[in-house]
Amino acid sequence: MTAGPADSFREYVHARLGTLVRAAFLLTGDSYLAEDLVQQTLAKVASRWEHIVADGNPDAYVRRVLYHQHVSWWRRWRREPLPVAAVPEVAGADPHGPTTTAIAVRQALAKLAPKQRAVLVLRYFEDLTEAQTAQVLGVSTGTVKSQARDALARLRAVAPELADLQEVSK
Amino acid sequence: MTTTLHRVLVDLAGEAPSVRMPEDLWRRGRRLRWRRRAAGILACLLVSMTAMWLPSPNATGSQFAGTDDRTLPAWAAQPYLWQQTFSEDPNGPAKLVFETGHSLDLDTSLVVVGRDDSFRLVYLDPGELMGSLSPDGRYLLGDNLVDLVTGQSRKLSPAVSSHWPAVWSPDSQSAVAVIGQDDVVPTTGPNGERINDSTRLDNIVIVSVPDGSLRVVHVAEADVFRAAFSPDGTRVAITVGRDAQNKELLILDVATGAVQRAVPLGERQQIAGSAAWSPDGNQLILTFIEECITSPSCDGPTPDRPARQRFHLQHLDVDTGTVTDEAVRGRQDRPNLIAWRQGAPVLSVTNDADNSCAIVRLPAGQSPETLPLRAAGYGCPSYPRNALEQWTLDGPQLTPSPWQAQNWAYVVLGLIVLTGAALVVKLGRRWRRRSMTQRSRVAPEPPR
Repeated sequence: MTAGPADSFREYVHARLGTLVRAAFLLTGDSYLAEDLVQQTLAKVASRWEHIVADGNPDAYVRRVLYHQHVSWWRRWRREPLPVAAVPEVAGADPHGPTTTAIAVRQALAKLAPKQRAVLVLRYFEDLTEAQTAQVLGVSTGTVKSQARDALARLRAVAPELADLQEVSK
Repeated sequence: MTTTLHRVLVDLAGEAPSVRMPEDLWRRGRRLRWRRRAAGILACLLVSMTAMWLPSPNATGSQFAGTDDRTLPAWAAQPYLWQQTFSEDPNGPAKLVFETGHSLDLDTSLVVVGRDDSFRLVYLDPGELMGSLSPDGRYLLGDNLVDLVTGQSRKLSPAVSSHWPAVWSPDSQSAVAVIGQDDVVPTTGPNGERINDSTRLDNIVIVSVPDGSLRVVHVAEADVFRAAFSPDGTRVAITVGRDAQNKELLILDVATGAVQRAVPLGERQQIAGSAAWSPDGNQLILTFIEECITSPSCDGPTPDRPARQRFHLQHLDVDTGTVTDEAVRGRQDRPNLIAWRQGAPVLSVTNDADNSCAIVRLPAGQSPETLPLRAAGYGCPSYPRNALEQWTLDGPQLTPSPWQAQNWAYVVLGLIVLTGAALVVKLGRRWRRRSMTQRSRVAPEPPR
């Protein structure tokens, strides 16, 4: 018996939920916001599920919805920013290893514009090329390059142990 | 690409909490989809409704009513099948009216062309005749008295007979008409007694405008009724009688109904038309039928081509009753004197064999001048007498605007547009799907 669209959607959510939540967490920096972002994304995906399945590449579509939803959240709420913890002016060397670096990067990510954050996550977490990143975000490759350059410069300033970060075209 | 940042981001992502999605996610998606579709339909409806009320670039509709274009067109085209109806949007006063079969009504329809060049359809009831257009183009008098400016239709009581078209006074404030009293078919009761009267006299009435009140000015057999008002509107000439052989011309005082003169007419003589009274008030124009009195049923050269009626004009001196024939003989087709232009009578002449029509001016001692006044549809179009006498002729050809349409046409158009848009969206999706499928062959899977 062939599974209906609702069943195939549930199967997809079950298989991809962890990935989506991790990407959403990196984008939002907050577990509750990440959960909301994923829920909204999946509700939108469910509303077009038949077409998405027919397209044959649900991951690409879901990824695009997730990132666009994140940017549109920021556009809607940028006038009422959530308080974030103070970021140290200049971080020193990392005497405590990678955990401290992760905290610094997390704080630095929170200070980035959402598109910069999205570029970093797509390029260095999801490991997409510049062209694929541009396609997901609906911008030009040049924009991806400049956003990545600015975001990395910010990260280098916040976390000196990431000083060897280079913008690499791929 | 540094591995450091990748590692740090993977570490950070590892801090993400394990999340359990709500069970109703699918239902939320469906609700979202329903809302999106409802919003789309609503938007389309709003756009369609807005488009319905937007003036089109070439609209000549009633928003321009009141313009005073004093030119009669050389030609008026057929209306569109979906043309706006007169009852929905009156467009009077009229520049011309004509009958057409080019409408969605199974019966003949009337086309009213306004002074703003707008076209409107009037669906006539089966057997209903067009009626008479007033000299100023504002009223149409048939089964009802219709104000073409306001659209108000007044039912006359008792109803005037549309069999004999009413004739308007020059000031458009009254008309003379017949209220038929005859029982057309003699009927007998069970014992052979007559229960109706086919010889009952008819009432000749003056219809007042705009209240539609009726006043009887004469009682007579009106089987051969025709009429013409004097230029000052104080007198009216009518023909009465049971048949063509017993026909009499009467000149009545409109105010009192008193008969001022009675002139017996021959079988071949008739008042020439609604404008038969000459502009100086001294003469009444008669037509004398030379051949084929019973057009179109005359035998012609071949069975399928009946003979054409032939006539000439006669001038009846109103004061003395003497009749003088014009010099010309053998004018062709069935005449109706409808106006005077530059001192000469203007007649519509209809060829009953093919129902073609021409409007000609007959200047004395000169050859007839065919006026550039034609329209699609059946027979002769009707023009307001004032316009025929005073306006410029040979104006640009008139074609209706397709946007002056009935409301249902906009709904149909909206559905067509929606279907087209849906088709475009569907094709666009198919195209995107194809290109995405091609791209996905090179795109990596997201990290797990």
